[in-house]
Amino acid sequence: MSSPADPSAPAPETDGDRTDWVGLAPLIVSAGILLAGNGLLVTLVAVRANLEGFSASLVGLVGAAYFAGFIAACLVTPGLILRAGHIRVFAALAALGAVSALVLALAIDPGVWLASRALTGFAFAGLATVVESWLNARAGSGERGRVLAIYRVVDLGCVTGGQFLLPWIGAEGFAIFAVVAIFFCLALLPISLSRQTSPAPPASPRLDVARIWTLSPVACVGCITIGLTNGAFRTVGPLYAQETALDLEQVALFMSLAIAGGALLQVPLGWLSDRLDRRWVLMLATLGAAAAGLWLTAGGAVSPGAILAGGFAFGAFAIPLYSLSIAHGNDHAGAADRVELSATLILMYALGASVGPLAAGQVMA
Amino acid sequence: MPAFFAYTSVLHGLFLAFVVFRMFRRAGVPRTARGRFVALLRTSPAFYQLARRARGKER
Repeated sequence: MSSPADPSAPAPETDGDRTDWVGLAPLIVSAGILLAGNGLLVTLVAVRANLEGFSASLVGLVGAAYFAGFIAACLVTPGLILRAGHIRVFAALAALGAVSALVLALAIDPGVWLASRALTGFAFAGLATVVESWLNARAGSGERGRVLAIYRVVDLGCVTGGQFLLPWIGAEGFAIFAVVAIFFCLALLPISLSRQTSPAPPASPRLDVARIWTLSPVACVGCITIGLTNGAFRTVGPLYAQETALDLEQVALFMSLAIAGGALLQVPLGWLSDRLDRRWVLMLATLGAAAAGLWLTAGGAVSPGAILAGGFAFGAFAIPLYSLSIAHGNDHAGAADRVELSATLILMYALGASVGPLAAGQVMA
Repeated sequence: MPAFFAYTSVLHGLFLAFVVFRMFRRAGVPRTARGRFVALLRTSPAFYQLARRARGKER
């Protein structure tokens, strides 16, 4: 029972220098569909909750629940994959994602939304772990850069593109939630019909907060701050856009511009950080994010153009802080510590992100 | 609602002050002893490993 099409068959960990592009394509297509659906859902939840009369604090709480699910998935998904295999875990979590999207439309109730968002956070973080660890194992060592570049373009294109389904379909009614559920289900098709064999399961992350704090306090505080701010921006930010008189199309544009700004500016900021003390670049980007925040606070009601420009600038400076903080932490870590460092810093980000939306919601209430 | 970005700016301001404080406490790592910047789009452990390995190969 170990034909190449048998997903349960153990497969060699490495593929040498060659990349099986035909084999990788289903993974990347599945990931793209998933990213588009989840990117749309994060914005939709804030917008629809606002339309349903949820208070800002409640929208914050719902956003926090998403990241609580995210933390749980980071901790348990490697174990789930070890137990059931990549494909089965992907199928189970895609089903969970679709169910959680549909439940949102069926019962517009704060308690139900809290539980459902925690489940979506769990499902999406788990699905991402499955796809990315699979890509990691299957990309040939000579072509990882190209696989990563394609994955980045798909990620950016799908997350930003997915936002525009919101104005197209509308945030009211059942249809938009059904579309998100369709995306979660569609993501299953390429990956489950693929002939790719499952790679070895990823290792469970080792977490050592005290040691990583000693290695780099700046990276730790940076990741917590990014969780508190960027996590809140994704889950509560659409409320700001909606309440500053932007229409739905502009809300989608506001979120997309911020995400695209972050992807664009992290290239020159990263280049600069390799040449200077990285902390100077961290300070520059933090200053830029703070200034963009002040612009949006003070000039928020000026014009839609000013708000959209502010959103772009905020994303351009705030989003690269994550990569910069991790790179700075790495500068202080030995090669053996790097995986543990990134796992611990992601946990810190997620802890920040599970408090940030709550705090931001309180401030806005 | 504009208070949202006042919230983020206060946090970014606090982080900025912390980085300044740390600049006085510890010297930077010399360029030759550092790895290269890896652009991460998403916060995911597996994405980090993929990016790190890709970057290692590019060098």
